[in-house]
Amino acid sequence: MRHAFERFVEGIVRETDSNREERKDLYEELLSHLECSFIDYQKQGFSEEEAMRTAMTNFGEEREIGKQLQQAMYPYRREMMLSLSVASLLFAYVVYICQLFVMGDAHIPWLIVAVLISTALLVTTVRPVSSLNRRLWVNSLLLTHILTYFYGLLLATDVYHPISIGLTIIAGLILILAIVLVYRTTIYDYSSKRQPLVKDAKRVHFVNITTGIFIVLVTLFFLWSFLLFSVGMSPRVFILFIPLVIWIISYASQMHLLSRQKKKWAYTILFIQTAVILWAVGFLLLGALGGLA
Amino acid sequence: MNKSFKFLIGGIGFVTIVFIALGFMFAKDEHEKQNGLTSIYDVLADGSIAYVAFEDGQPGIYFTGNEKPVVQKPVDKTILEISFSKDGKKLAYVVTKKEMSSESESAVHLLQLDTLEDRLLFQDTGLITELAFDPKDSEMLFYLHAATFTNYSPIAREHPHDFDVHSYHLGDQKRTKYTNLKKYSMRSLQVSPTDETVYVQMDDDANVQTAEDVYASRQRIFEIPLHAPDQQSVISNPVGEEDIYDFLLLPEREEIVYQAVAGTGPNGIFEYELFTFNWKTYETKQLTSLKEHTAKPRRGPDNRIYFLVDRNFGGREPVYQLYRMSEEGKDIEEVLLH
Repeated sequence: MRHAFERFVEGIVRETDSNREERKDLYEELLSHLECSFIDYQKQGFSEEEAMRTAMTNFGEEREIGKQLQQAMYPYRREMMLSLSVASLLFAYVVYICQLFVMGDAHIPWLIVAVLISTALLVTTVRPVSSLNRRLWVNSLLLTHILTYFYGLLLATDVYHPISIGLTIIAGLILILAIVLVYRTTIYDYSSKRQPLVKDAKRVHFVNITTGIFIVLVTLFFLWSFLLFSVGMSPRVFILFIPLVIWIISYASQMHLLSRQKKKWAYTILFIQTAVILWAVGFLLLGALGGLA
Repeated sequence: MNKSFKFLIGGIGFVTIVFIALGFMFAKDEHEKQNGLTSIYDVLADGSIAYVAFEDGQPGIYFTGNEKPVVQKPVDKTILEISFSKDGKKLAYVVTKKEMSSESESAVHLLQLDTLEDRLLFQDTGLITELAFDPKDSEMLFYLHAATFTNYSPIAREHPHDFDVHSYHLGDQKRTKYTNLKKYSMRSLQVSPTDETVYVQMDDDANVQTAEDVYASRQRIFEIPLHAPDQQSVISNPVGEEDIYDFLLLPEREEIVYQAVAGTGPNGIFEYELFTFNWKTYETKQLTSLKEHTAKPRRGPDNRIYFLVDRNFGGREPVYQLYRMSEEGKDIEEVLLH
């Protein structure tokens, strides 16, 4: 009996995006629920065979229940991931073909990376692997996707007008969807068991992800300018990555302090980090306005 | 993994392999991408027009009415300039490699227009950027020679520099260097139909002392007497605040038709128009108001002025169209080359 129930519950749990710990909890909960029903039916006079079958039949079809659980636990996450992977795949093919037949350039390495990353997203969405369904892995996949498709955005803008307009808009939408998924993966979908201050952790994650996106964009811009105007590669290029490294250290230390319930210190670092960035933005804006005047 | 999922992943793999194969088949080398009309053309007194156009990266010299080129070079070569002789029997042209460097060489060819016999006149290290037959002697070919091809600033692109005026005599095959200016830039070589004089556009920077002076200096048109090349004089407005980029002499009218910036378009891109300057009266008139990139004025038959308009100036690739008009800037009409 227990073996049949275990297989039945495994089929349900497999349909969710839960990580290993969450799956274990869910598995135990569903199994105990089934066993209670089984005992109830036996008390009502059902034979063991009948009680087992009735308990599972009344529970519902495995895949359907799995899907309902997935929707309840992670609303629209799978649809978003599917949309991202399918749209990314189609975009990669269309941009590649436009670059090839309009511009005469074959971006083969980019196509391979873009297809691999989009297929990886598709596979992990349709067939989730519990050991890989962790915040770190999913975010790594999404960040690799964002970098790959940021290059895709540049390829889209490079195609002759007006083809470039539509492609650039699609690339922008794909990147926004991927960024939204990074936010929800980090803040809502995969919370850390080691983090006791859940609400504070969500706030700190939100501010840091936003700051991180800004710092990465500014770093890429300065890197592009440096490479455009420099004759050869220079070790000085690594200076450009200092803000990014400081941000990573600051983010990690905030989360570490929160996990040790040192809320004040975590928020102090967050405040200093945000103030420095706002000051830098203000300084640059004033400089730009001064230059225009 | 069920069957349909395996089929989907297999399908993605198959499509990707097909696209990669297409990439290997249809990707073009940078040199093969060029197509269409360039800014290089010349007009004969009888109205014949020779122009340089690219066909899948191959530069060719074409004549109006003929779809096939009279000269076509391989994709790694480019034609820098063409010039008809005054008698209309010869066409000189310069060929160099597309990949330009300080080691570039230029080959000057002569095309006999009646027989289409093509012969190499001479080769020279450096870049020969412009050619002009002497209207008084169809055996004498003047040219602008750039001794270096480099970028003087890390934020600037490489360009030909150290320009001087030279000539080649077709009869005795003698080359002569007239100036020793090593000019940063020199363009629009023209030869006087009456005197031993050439005209070029270059920076008016002979008396500059400081970086501010260099910045404030203007590009003007200079007259260079060949017997005394050091005695150059400015024939465009010597105190004008505008830069002159290209020009055409109309000696009988004592006028210069020149190209200069007329304003800025709504997209922030400069609009270049053609103007006239009378060197006796100092009167300046605007000839065209096309609000485009108007360039390369050339003299045609019936006192018509031919010029190019780049319909995609500021864009990735220029899109040239040839026009003509009267010397007063009237009756502008497009000249169809095919």
